[in-house]
Amino acid sequence: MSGSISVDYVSHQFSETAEAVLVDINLNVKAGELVSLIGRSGCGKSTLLHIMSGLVDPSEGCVRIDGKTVIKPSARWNMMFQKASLFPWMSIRENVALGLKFAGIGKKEISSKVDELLDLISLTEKADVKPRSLSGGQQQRVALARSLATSPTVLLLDEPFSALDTFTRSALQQDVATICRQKGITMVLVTHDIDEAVLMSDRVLVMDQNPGRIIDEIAVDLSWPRKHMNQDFQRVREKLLLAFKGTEKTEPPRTLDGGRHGVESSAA
Amino acid sequence: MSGDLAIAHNTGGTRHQARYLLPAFVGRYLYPLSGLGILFVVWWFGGWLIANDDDLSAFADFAPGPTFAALVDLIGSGDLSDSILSSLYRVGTGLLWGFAIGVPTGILIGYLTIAMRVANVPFQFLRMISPLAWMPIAVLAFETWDSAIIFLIVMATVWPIMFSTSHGVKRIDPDWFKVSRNLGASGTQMVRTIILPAIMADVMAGVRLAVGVAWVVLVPAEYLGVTSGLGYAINDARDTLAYDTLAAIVLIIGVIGYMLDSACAKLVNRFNWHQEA
Ligand SMILES: Nc1ncnc2c1ncn2[C@@H]1O[C@H](COP(=O)(O)OP(=O)(O)OP(=O)(O)O)[C@@H](O)[C@H]1O
Ligand SMILES: [Mg+2]
Repeated sequence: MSGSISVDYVSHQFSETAEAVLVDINLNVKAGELVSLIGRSGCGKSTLLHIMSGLVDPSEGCVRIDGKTVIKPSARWNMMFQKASLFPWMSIRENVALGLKFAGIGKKEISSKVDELLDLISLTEKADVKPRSLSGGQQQRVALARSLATSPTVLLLDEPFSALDTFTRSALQQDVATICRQKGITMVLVTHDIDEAVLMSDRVLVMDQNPGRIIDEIAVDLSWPRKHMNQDFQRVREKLLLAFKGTEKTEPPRTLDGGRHGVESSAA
Repeated sequence: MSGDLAIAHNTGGTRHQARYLLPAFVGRYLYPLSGLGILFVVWWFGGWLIANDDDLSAFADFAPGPTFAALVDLIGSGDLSDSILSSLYRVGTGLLWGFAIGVPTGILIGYLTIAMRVANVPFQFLRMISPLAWMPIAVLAFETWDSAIIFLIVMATVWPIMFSTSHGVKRIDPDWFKVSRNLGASGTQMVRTIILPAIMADVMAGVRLAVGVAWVVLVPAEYLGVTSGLGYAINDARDTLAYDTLAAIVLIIGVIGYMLDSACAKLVNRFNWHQEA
């Protein structure tokens, strides 16, 4: 199985004069492992994910995937964003096929692969419509299929479910975790949502801000498939909340039920 | 009783249908046709005034009657087809050059803020100069009249195409670049698969504007030097006092212009993904 990631001494600032966004990030993700990265808004989660994908060059340090230094984006490690960003002039089928087309793969092979993926996301009957006529959740499923088409070893997910309603979100959370586990894909999920982190990952990394750094790490030793409100789930969740208290100030993280969990503001 | 009801229901249904059919027909044909009708009446009335004015009666051939007669003659003899072809050739070639220069430049100034800043003032300045003002320079710079006229058409078409293209580029969602780089797109794949289709609707809107300007500029440009084309034909008709032919040519210019514009509108729609469902 491939898709191991190592991030070595990565620091980043967007310009010479700007404050450092990330300082000395070190982390290792095993091939096939599902990891969540959780932290407050602005702590540098997206920046770290962009660096892992090769979309942004780190100011210092490097990222290696399967031992090779990442120097540019590749379809082997694929990123998914908060917005589906489908191409509105292409049909669903063409959107899903895009990565394969870029790779110069033959029409026949593309066609059968796309059929398979459309079946996986249950959108076979929408194959020939344009993205505009799909709901937000359906669009995000198409984006998932588009990411999976090139058979990536790593999926980097930047809050891909946060714009969706609760029901759609929890269905997709289950789907993505299951698919990654079945296909042995390494997942790094950035999220604000503690429940999502517990629900989908083997391990949760907690980030603090100013500058962004990883301050804690919590293993999620729960069996699959995971149920929200059982005792074990609550136990892990409490642990995570505690780790979060370490990250001072302002807004506590949002949770699936929309509630706010009491983290005392140290400023108040 | 039940029979009555059925009949009432039936007629109601028919009236219902008629009420919905009429507006569709009205929207599609009645309004444009009445517009044309009004134009025709004004024309006919103007012709009648001219014919009844002793000072102007020499120009009575501008009226609809003689004009349509001349039109039938022109079409029948095929004399005008060469003029139309030369005119279309000049507009087409000029448009091609305008496109070839305008689209890449538009992409550049849409994509690079620096290029936009550098180019904005000079381009806005050049754009405001009537293409016809380049005529003396064009005559000096080009060996043939044909190329001089084509140059004027290029000067007319390049700006709308360039500015629409850059507008289209600015409307591209930056996330599309991220997504496609992530999917392994090379530079040329990015241009061909993402950038060009994304801006095509705006480019075509620019082409439509450009065709309009080009067609308007063409006729006066052809007044000079050349011995072919619709502008030349108009001048020739004036010199030979063939006012009915002159009016018929004006009619043809209008009709061709309208057809060109409609064709462009179709193209704009074909590539427009902005509002399609
Ligand atoms: N392209 C950029 N240029 C300059 N600064 C940036 C850029 N992108 C992000 N930043 C800054 O870097 C910091 C971290 O941003 P980042 O988007 O990584 O945070 P995040 O943890 O993903 O936040 P959120 O949870 O709100 O998405 C922020 O202070 C942000 O203002
Ligand atoms: Mg972010």
